[in-house]
Amino acid sequence: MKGYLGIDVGSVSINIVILDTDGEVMKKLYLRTKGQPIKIVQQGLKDLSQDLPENLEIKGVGTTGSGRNLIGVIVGADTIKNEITAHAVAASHIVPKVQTVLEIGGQDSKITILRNGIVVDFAMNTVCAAGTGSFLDQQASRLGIPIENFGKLALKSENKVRIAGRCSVFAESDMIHKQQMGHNIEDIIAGLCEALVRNYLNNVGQGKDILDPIVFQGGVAANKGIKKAFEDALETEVTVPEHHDVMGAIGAGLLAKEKIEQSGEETSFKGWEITDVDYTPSSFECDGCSNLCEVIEIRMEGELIARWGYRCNKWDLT
Amino acid sequence: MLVAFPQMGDFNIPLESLFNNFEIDTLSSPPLTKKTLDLGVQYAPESSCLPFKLVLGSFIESLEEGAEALIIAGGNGPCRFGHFGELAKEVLESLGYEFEFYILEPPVSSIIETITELSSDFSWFKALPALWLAWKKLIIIEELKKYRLKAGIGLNRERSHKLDNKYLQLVSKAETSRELTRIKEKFQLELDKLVSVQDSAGVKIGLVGDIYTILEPFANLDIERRLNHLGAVVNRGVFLSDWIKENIIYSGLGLSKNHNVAEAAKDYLKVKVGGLGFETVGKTVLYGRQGYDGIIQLSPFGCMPEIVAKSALDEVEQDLELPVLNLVVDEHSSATGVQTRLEAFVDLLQRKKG
Repeated sequence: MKGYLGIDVGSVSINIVILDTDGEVMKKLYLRTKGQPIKIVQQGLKDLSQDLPENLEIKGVGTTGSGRNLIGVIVGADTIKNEITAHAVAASHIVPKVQTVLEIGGQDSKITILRNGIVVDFAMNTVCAAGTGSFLDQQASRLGIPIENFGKLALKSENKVRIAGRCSVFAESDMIHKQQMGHNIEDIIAGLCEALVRNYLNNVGQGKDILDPIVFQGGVAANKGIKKAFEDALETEVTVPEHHDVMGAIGAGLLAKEKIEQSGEETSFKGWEITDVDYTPSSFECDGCSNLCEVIEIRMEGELIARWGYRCNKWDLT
Repeated sequence: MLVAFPQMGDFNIPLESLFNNFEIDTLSSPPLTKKTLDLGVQYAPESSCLPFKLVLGSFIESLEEGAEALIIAGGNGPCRFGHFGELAKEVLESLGYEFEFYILEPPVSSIIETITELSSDFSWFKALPALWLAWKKLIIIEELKKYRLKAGIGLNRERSHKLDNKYLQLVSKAETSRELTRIKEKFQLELDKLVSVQDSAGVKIGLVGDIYTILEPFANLDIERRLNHLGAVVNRGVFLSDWIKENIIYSGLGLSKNHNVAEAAKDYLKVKVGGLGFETVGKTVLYGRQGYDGIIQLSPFGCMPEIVAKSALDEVEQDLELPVLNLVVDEHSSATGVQTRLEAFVDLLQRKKG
């Protein structure tokens, strides 16, 4: 039995999937990054490896997300791709005719426009994170509501309140103000969902031609209130795929599969044993010029295997 | 008197050549680094653009190294650049620095006025050849750049970087036009030897946008090299010599030579909107007609001319089916974020081509 491994190393979560030869999800894991990507990936792979079909053979590995290079080196990835491409590939695999992908993750949000299965345009939030998962998390915990129930509560609202959503700090003070005016919590949450969607569409979605079918993915897609707000604003149906929270990992796995199938090469996957290898990241400040680059080094069992973070060529490993 | 200019690309080389020919001592301002940016951010008005912050930081570093006079180009029109000189002067004076300050306003005669003031040794007999040599140096540097951009994707990063530096030194030292032509030929030969076979993405990208952000690799996080590294062929719509011809020479004579840019832009933008906004639109259309696969518009955060251009580009993008990526940079720009967008853009172009 053959399988492909996809790993998405994001700022907030790390997602790992194993795909079968049709690109269907056999196993998936959603873990919090907790600022320790190497440790979490090792732990995740260890957990996965204990519960695999007997004869599973990994034919390819792909990584994506902001930690794609780091983890790519450690697992021996066949493809290391940016998250924009990975998400688009996954969305068009699951909904083949998709024309718009809305994606909201922990710290960034993006929109991808596809036509005939090909990405023709994309945008990513630049200077504003008002509509992302971290902010919702923060508000849920401030209100003492588990994030899982946040969306459901929003759906109960019958009279949503208008919240200023341009900036997360102002949105918060506006919410507090509305609470103190005596509005009920469902209406405020529904108002917040609407404000975030408005902000997303005006910011990231500005000037984009949003056509059906629309897929909404990323961690925030679990929030039914946001999905509803998108449907209201766009006046159309929005699809949230079953594995919406690990789409990046699925895309990474699919890209690895594509590469291996096309090239016929052997995978460079280092095997499940990497979970027992000792990887030590360390960093130092280079004082070669006034850029003062922070150089990062990764050692495997004491041996230097990768280095990055500098502007010039001084620290290239030859 | 020791004279310094703000750092922008390699423009200091022709300027130094010009001034040195009149026995005016120049200080090569230190290359832009994070320290330059930190200084600029600390002392510039918070909402000023990234180019101003870098210019200010560069001036501070030069003054700390002993510069006694500062020179910057001025200009008119609704881009903040025309205001850089005045603003920098005020900020630097309030910091307690003492210096002479010269703003070169179009037309070209203001350059001569500044030189006559600084030089003990001015004569028209000397001025014309000196101006000509400086101009030639600018042109040669740009030609080296163009050649390098063309050959870019197969280049070994480290060795070609050394080669660039070596030849810039040679251009800087050259004393005659003929010498410069030889330098160019030798550079091309040596560069060709460094080109190895490398995976090409098979896509061609045109860079348009704000002049400073395009010319100074520190400001744009070395976008040309990043794109070359991803296997994309890059061309730039902006070269300083074009700007000088248009804004200092022709405009002084009440002329414009930008006919094809104006013709290309006419369906989308009819008037100049300051900075290079108009050129951004025109050049994008021209690149589209020349079969380029994609365009990257570079601008500093809050750059008004480029914001106007962007809204016109949305239309160009649809009409010509030419993908445009808008990259906005400021002191908070992270290399990771830029890299992710560039990778995705190159993927997009490649998959679109099929």
